[in-house]
Amino acid sequence: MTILVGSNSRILIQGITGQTGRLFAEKMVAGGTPIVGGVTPGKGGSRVADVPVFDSVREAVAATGADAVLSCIAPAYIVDGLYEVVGAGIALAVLYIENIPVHDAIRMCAYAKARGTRVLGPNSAGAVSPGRANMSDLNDVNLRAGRVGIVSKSGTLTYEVIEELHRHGLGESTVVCLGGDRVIGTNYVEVLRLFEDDPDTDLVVLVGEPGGGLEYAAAAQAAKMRTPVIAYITGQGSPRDARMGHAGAVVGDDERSRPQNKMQAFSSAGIEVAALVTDIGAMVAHRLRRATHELRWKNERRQP
Amino acid sequence: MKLLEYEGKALLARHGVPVAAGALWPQVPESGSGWMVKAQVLAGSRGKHGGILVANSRQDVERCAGKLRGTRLGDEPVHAVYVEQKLEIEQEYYLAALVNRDLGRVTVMASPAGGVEIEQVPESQIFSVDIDPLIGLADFQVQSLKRSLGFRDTTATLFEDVVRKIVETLIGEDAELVEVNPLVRTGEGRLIAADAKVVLDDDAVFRHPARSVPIAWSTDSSFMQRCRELGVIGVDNRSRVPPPTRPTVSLLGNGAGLTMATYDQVALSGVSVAGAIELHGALAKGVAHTAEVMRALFMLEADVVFINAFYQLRSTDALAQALLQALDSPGAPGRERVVVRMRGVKQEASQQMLEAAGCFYTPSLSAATGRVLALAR
Repeated sequence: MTILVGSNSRILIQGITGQTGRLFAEKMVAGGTPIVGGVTPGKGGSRVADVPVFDSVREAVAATGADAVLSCIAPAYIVDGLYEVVGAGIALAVLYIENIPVHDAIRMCAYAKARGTRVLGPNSAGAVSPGRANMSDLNDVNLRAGRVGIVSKSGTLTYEVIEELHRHGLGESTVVCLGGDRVIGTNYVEVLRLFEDDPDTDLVVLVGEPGGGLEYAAAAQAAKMRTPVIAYITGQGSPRDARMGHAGAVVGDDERSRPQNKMQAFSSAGIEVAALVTDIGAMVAHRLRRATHELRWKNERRQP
Repeated sequence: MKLLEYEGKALLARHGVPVAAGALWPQVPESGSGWMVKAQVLAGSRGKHGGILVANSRQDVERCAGKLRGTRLGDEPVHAVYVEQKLEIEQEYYLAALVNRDLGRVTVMASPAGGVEIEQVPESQIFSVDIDPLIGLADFQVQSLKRSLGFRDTTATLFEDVVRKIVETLIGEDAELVEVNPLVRTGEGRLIAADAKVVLDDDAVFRHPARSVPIAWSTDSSFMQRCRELGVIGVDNRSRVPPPTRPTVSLLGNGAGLTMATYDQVALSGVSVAGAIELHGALAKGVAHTAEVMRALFMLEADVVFINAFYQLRSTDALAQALLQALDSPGAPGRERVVVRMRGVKQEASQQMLEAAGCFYTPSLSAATGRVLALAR
């Protein structure tokens, strides 16, 4: 089944005639992702990577039945661009762009939420269900379909977690990047709930970072789930007040922003916590083996 | 970016929030009631560290300012000395507007127990409202804060006005935090912002072209200033690492998450990190530019240089070339002290290039970390 994106997605690229948009379109077509078109005002009627280009999102939706948009437009147009996506009734929007002023992000995300559009980002590397749909900046050759879900703020760190899974012969059901900005459209809890309801996800790796406190609600949610969760919080060694690249990832004066306190919250909730990113693969493999044994043991007891 | 008190107050005043008459020393404002002489630092709790002095005469102002200027308060350098008219304080309140990241909204917090750090105030004494961005600050929210703080009569009207203007300042100036602690009620029944802590949104600088460069940047290390010029994110940890704990590692990564995780791989193993650079898309600006970024990394003068880049759709060639160019510059570290982990399209070509030049290369983060720690110990 997978979550958020899958074989039945109908994906548009907003800004498809730009450099980034074109690159994504070509990659999606080559990888068999269900892309149905793109949007660039004034370029309607042309084609990019052999998919049709439309002047507006509304026209594209009418012609293709699109339900998801990967937005690759310049920062100056992003607020208006998202309003257009929301207005066209799109269910999922990925905002790849970063360095959006935080008060713009607040307004955009509130509007999208009120109108029923789920937003990943700003500053999100996207979402991908390997072998089905890739709405992210991940390269298809670096992905392997499997049964582990990943939810993370960071893109590059997610690459590393995927590599960890592969080292242990595992693969991904869906990878979801929430985005590294201070205010983002979708939080961990919402994605954890989707994974919990997904029959194709056996375990979720949750990657957190310094700044804000979204991880605390995630720990409470993880504790309630049947699907096991393994948490990793990066930035444990980050110096105070240093902006490490993500606008949001700053260890501040606020105790809640500290990685150590977030790790403690997961531990207290009975969730396993990885200390280093290079520990994750072995922990996931071990936890899945244990889960398989538990299941077999339960089944044997049930049918003596 | 954090602003100093006087920079923050200038923004508040522009939005109509009343502040005391003040000037940057050596200028001294007119006052019939004495002066407050205040060290301008970026950290809080100045009072406790002796950063706020009372002066009763102009000679006294000179004496106090002379004592504060150019010194440090705790770890923080004193950037300037600000002299203000002394207020006659009847009561101190707390008032702040801030970006509440978890809610994705602006929150206004207020308390009748001002003048102390808000963390010390019991929760029952803190009142807050969250603003729906689709509506803005609603009148009933202002009224509820006013009632909670016990304002009556004419001061109540003044308080409502200040609340609205603080929110206007936060949003209008693209700030993440506007904190007034204390907000002072004077003997004459006026409300005045007696302190200001303002944090601006780095990502909204383009909307405020008239703003001058924050004074605090001038004390940044040359490494940090160079990173800013090159459009990359620099972290200078040298002032936080006690000097004799050598050897140290400098590291460079692409993407915040990976850079932080790499930092942890080293720092959690007990080896000091001198500093780090997050490339922040610098590679797209070409080899020559990226080589400059590498040279900036060498300014940290660490004993081991750790490069960890993971690309999905991009070739690592340009990064490898940039590193080798920079390693040829005078003052560059020896190649035997460089550890490279690169993943990307056609990474084998980069591997050959780097190995031929005498650098250690591995595609594995575990192996790279092992090598770095071995070199540093």
